[in-house]
Amino acid sequence: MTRDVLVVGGGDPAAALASELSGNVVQVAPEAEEVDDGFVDGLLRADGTEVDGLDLVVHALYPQQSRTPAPVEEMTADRWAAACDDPLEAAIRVARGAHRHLADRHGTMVVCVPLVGAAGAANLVALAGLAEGLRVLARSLARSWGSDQIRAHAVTLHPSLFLASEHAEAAVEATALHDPALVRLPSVAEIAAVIDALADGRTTAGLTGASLVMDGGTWMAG
Amino acid sequence: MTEMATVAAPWGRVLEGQVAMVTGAGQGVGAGIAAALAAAGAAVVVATRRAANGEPAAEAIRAAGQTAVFVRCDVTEAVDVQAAVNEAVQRFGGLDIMVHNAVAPAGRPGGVQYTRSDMIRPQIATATTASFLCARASLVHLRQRPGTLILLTSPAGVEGSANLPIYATVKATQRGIVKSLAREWGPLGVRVNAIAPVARTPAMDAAVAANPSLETRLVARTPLGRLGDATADIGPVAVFLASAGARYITGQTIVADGGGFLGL
Repeated sequence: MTRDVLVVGGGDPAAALASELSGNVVQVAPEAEEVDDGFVDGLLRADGTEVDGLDLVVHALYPQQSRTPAPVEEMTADRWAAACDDPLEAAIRVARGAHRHLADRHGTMVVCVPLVGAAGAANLVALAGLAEGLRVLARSLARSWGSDQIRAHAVTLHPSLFLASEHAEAAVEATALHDPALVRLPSVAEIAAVIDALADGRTTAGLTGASLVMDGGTWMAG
Repeated sequence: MTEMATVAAPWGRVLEGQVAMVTGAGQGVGAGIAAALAAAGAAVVVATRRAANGEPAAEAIRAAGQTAVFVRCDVTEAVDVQAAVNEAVQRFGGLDIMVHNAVAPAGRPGGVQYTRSDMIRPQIATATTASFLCARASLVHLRQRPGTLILLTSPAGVEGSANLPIYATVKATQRGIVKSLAREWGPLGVRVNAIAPVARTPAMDAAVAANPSLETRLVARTPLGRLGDATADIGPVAVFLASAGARYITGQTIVADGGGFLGL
């Protein structure tokens, strides 16, 4: 059976992953403040929709405000909300809307987060807060949805998949003591293959609440 | 000095002459931290949304011979946070220690899909928006001392929670904020840390009332065999983090839960 997959988020890594994930993949890129509890239902009910159920939801919704460095003392409250609070709430609303559909299929939710959440990064405080919140949201979903046979995971990715190259380089230089142990970063196809595996009930049905770091062995978080 | 003050300040008045602001200090962990900071010598601004618990908390500190003042503050409002910081500076001459502890009600226990829709954003606002507002308003003063920022998070903000998923999420967000602010402000000499406590508080009592097995399960996994006391067990952790003894500690989450969570 072909897996029905919803990818939430614009730009990379959402767009890159949508092109590599297996199955019937639909990518949507809403504004964070547009996402309400009916957002997922709306996608499935829309005329001409490409999915009629959900086996996998990949959440990677990061507004441009989250990806643009700024010192905290220079941020307005509106910018903070756009960079952290709105996308955090959007993720929660996506999860609420997806629950019923994932329960029907014994599906999987995967949130993709940048490494700056676990490692910290100057001038990316809102992004780091958002990332850590999403990483633990996945754990909470795993705990509360396990009895519905829904699994949830977080996949932590290198900052270069979220940030302009100069910002990613600065974040890595300030946080990583080591170069990637594999001497390269994983390709998007390799990341998508891991997410495919996480959604594959034949091989990973006993796995939930995982927090996988796919950075080529740069950081090796505990 | 009272017996409780002695317990709350086991290293004596190591914060003598310093000024602290504690949000959500009207009860529970916030009140315990405010009392401990005061017992350690700091002048404390008790910043709460309601005078009904903020003023008594400040009065209790004064009654113990310490220095405290109540300031009304809704931590989700930038104007309120700035005014509270201004009041601290005007009254006491500066700000060395900013503690953001206030938290919004989490609602009835249950999965994320069962959380009342109107209880989601207030939890985000009280945790993440308020952390931002407290950080932004205090930095200009903290960098002059240099001082320290402490955010109150939770073990749930590390391991997740089946029954309080929004609470766990926003508490995790605060841990990300702490790590990044520590990197951003380290060059300024300002340290940023978090405390993840488990303590008997009115909020804990309400959670136990809604889920009667919670306390038994919490204590059963706690090597020290009891829930913490807000003043005697959690307050001194804040005192330590604010003191010179923690001068090389930043970006960390100190789990003060009797050993219940050992996953770091």
